[in-house]
Amino acid sequence: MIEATGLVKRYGARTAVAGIDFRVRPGVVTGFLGPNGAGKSTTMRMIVGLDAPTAGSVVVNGRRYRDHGAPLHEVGALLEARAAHRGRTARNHLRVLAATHGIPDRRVQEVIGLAGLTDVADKRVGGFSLGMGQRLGIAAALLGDPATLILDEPVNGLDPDGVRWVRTFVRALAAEGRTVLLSSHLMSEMAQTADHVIVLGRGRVLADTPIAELIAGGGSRVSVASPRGTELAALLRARGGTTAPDAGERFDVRGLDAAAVGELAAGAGIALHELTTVGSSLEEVYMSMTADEVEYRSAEPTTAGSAA
Amino acid sequence: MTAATAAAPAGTGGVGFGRVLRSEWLKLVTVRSTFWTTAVALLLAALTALLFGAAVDPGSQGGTATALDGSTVSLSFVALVVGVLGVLAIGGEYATLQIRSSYTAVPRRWPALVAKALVVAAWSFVLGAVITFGSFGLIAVLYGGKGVSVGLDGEAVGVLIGGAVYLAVIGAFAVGLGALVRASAAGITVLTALLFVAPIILALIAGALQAEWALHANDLLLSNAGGVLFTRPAEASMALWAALLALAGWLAVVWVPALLLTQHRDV
Repeated sequence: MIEATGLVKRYGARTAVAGIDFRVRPGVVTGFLGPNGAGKSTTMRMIVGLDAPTAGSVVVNGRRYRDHGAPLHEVGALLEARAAHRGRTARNHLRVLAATHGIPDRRVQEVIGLAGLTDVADKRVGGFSLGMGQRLGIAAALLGDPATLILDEPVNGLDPDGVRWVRTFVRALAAEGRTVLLSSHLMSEMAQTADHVIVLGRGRVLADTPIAELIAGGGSRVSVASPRGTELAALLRARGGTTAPDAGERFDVRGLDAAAVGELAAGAGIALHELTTVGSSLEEVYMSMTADEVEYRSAEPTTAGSAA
Repeated sequence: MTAATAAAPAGTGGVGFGRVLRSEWLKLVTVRSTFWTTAVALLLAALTALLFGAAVDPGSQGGTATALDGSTVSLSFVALVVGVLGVLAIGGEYATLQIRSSYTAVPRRWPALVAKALVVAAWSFVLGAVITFGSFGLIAVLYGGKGVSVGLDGEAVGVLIGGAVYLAVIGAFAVGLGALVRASAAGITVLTALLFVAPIILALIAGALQAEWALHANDLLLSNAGGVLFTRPAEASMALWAALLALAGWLAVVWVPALLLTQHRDV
């Protein structure tokens, strides 16, 4: 369980995190979603005590990270691929971290296997690709077999195999009852991995909700094609639907479901060439959400001087 | 592949200073820069001792005293090599973001920094002892060939160990300096200025202004106060206790702000 209360981080005049509250619960994969600069990485660094909050607090299992006696057993964090000395081998990097907690070499060997690093374990980190760096970071996060995992952009730089591996892996970790928080700016990835999503934009929480609800809340539309499209569109509007565009052979309908559209067309003797329900994607929901945020922010007098 | 289902490794009670020391020791011996700098220091020292033993004839002060001078003459530039080792030990962590991994594992931070200084100081001490005793031995053999007798008396042992202590102090100072400036290049520049440039400037000031204070200040510099540790008491510019006090002051100058700032800085 990770709990943030009134968390603020400013770097000089720039506000990276503007007072956020959230909880990350065990047993599910929680996604931090947001564009670059939304405050995801800053928040994650504050969780593990690398950055000090300007105001507010964040605790892991009831305590500040710094106050845990065995932090690697509480939280495993991948914050930066290749956060390792270039000149050290992967195995030695892990042994160095393990030594601080008296974690035996046997466990180092285990996480090397788990992360798929066996072939490169004795090569220097300086020669690693971004993908291997990510795997090393994941291995380091797993060293203490922690109940909480924090992974910042874990699929960044991974090949398709690696992406699938991370996805399966984090889902398995959550299924074991662990708390998993991962961030991504890739909405498709988040849709496939996370159960719950916290959307950040400009350092604020825009949404904190199960991912299914977020998508459902975005509404769906019906895509229609008909040779008598203009006539049908007028009929649908008369029955409470909205159409876009209002004329032509193809248009989208909102406010009526596919069944209602089909019945109305049949009743009027109009042939349909296509009738499809289109669910909104996480991406669409997210775009509209952050667009609102941007408009709202730029309308604020206090930010009038900014370039945005 | 399956998830990490293995139970938490049994019997690991968490972070302890002994464990952090072991971690820092592993860090030191698992990067090549440690061995390069050490090899360079040994090579420089061995060459110096050979040249000294071959070229410098013991004058009126006798074989032992001259051999002691020759055994410690390399320490002034070996100090820079050890300083580079110390600055790189922490500066390299900032440059590679290793520091984030390190401070995630040891979130209180100061134990990691202090442990690093201790292992660098220990490494430097052993290196210094190998250099001073090894040089003394080399010169003794060369002098023996010329029929000059050299003896390892109590005072000689004190001087040779003093040289090793000086290198340990420089190593610890350099780690603190590196932690303060967080960049290898800046740290090495400051260290070079302090060891080699400051004494020249103060000597020039003393000469130009006939200023007594500049001479005293010069004596208190890191390199000159450190030099007292490996100088025979009869020839030293100040008492051993005064030199040790000055060195403690130098350590405090970098370590007090380094520890205070490290606790609060974002990394």
